[in-house]
Amino acid sequence: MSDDRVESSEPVEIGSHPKGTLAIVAVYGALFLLAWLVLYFFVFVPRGTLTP
Amino acid sequence: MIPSHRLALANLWVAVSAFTIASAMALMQALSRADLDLPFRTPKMYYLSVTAHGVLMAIVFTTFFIMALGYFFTERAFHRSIEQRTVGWISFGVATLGTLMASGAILLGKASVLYTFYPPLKAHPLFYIGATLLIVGSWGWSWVLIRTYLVWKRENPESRTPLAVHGMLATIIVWLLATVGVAAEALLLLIPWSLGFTEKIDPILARMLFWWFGHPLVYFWLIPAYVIWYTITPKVAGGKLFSDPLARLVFVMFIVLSTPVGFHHQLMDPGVDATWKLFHVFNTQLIIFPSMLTAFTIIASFEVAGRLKGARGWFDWLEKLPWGDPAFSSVALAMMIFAIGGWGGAINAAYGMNAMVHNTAWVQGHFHLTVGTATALTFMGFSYRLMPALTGRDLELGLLAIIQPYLWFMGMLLFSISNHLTGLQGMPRRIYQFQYGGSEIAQQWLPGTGISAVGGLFLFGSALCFAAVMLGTGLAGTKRPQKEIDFAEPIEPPGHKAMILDNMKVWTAIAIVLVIAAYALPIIQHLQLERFGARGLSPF
Repeated sequence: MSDDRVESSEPVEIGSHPKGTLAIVAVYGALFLLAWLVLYFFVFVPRGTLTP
Repeated sequence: MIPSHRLALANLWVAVSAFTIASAMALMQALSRADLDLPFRTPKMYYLSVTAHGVLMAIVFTTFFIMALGYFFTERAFHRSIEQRTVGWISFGVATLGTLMASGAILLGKASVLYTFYPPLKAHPLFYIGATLLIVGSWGWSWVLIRTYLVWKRENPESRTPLAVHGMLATIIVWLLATVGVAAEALLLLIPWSLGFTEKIDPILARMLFWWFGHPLVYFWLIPAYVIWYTITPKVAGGKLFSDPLARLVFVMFIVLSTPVGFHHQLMDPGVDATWKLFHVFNTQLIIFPSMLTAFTIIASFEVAGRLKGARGWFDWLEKLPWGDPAFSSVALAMMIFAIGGWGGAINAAYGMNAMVHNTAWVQGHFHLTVGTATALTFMGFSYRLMPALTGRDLELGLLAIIQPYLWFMGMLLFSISNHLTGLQGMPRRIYQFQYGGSEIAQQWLPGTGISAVGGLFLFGSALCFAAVMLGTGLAGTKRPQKEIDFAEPIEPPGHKAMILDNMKVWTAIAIVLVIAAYALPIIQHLQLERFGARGLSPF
């Protein structure tokens, strides 16, 4: 079921910087950090730690 | 069929059978948690099904699938049969016998001790002995693959270890280091106790030994999935692997860091010094890094595939990927789900924040994203290639195979996100009756458990599709020569770059030092405390 065909006749620089991947990974990294901090500051800290 | 394919196929059939039974048990739980008035719904049935689902899915399905994969990949990569096939068959027999003993005890209601089998919950001795035999069988499998590698290496001293074998060796090293803990727990504590040779058991020591095994078990599941991602999926996508040395670095990091992490499951436990807990937390946060590297390398490989098909923009390569091929879509969807699972894992393993989610529904939401999807969905997707390759039969019911990963994806989003949210609201995990006399807080959980049950229905539908395709292909597919499964080529062959990454002796030695550093002193400290022990309980 896979499609192994190379559709473009132009030369492809496949070893160049994967700009789309870098963008996706950067956005994911930012969301990862942001969501972690949201949970920390808006759920964990208001509830307080186990020991005073 | 060549003889070692028969061995891999035997392992695959046990995996598929375990998966199918475990899926039925999962449906029972999901509907039960939604508080539906089901026939046969009792606490005893609930805890039996939780135990059967956990053991059959997380230990039996994964272990047998990984053994099948190990035989298949080793043979494909080396272009030769495995060594000591007889040992492989004996190991398969021992592991299967152990599985029958343990699952028989569970299904007869004699071992409702959940997948973690924490004492003082006490099971019938057959359960512990059976689980031990499963582990022993897997050691035989490990030996066969190590022996095959050593023979190949002796004959090819200058050749680079094929990436698929490098990854499977990493899997085996992690497994052998991890199973020392659970073997000690079973042989020294659980089996003598269940047979009545000892009256009491030390629950804290048992938990320490269990989590010595329990968390690296996660990487025993995950590394073979990564082997598929690195060595198969780029080819399926129509491209090349972005970087071979990065993949090897990832496998090596797993060897070193997988085991000294278990105490992050015991952050709420007494009996373990806070310093050691912090050490394990630190190692756990480090082990996020190889998964981040993997995300980058695999997505970059997909981008390469899209560019080879003509994409030029930032994201148009995504449209060029073969979303209708379940061997690809299963991995791509598994990666998306795993992105959420990785985030949740960083909260579980945070020393303070763990208290917020510990033993809540959040936890089951989390591990269904990781083992339940990143691993299981990858294994299912690759099975659509593996079963035809091993049996020499055409894939049957192809439409079901195409929709199955999407059903799983939808179901898991509904199931896991709702469990994360109800977990944050305080809903405990592994509780049959959670109404607490109609308390206001418990009422808040009901919408979430309802959504979770709908997710469970999607997942069950997906599991039925998978089982139908496997049975249809394996038993009734048209027999004819099948296309070989080829490994993805890297953009740039590794040559002799970073040869140290292939030196498994060095990485194993470092890993052993770290395991000793992480566990020797805490266990000694614990043994010096006054300990009282606990008598067994079998409430269900």
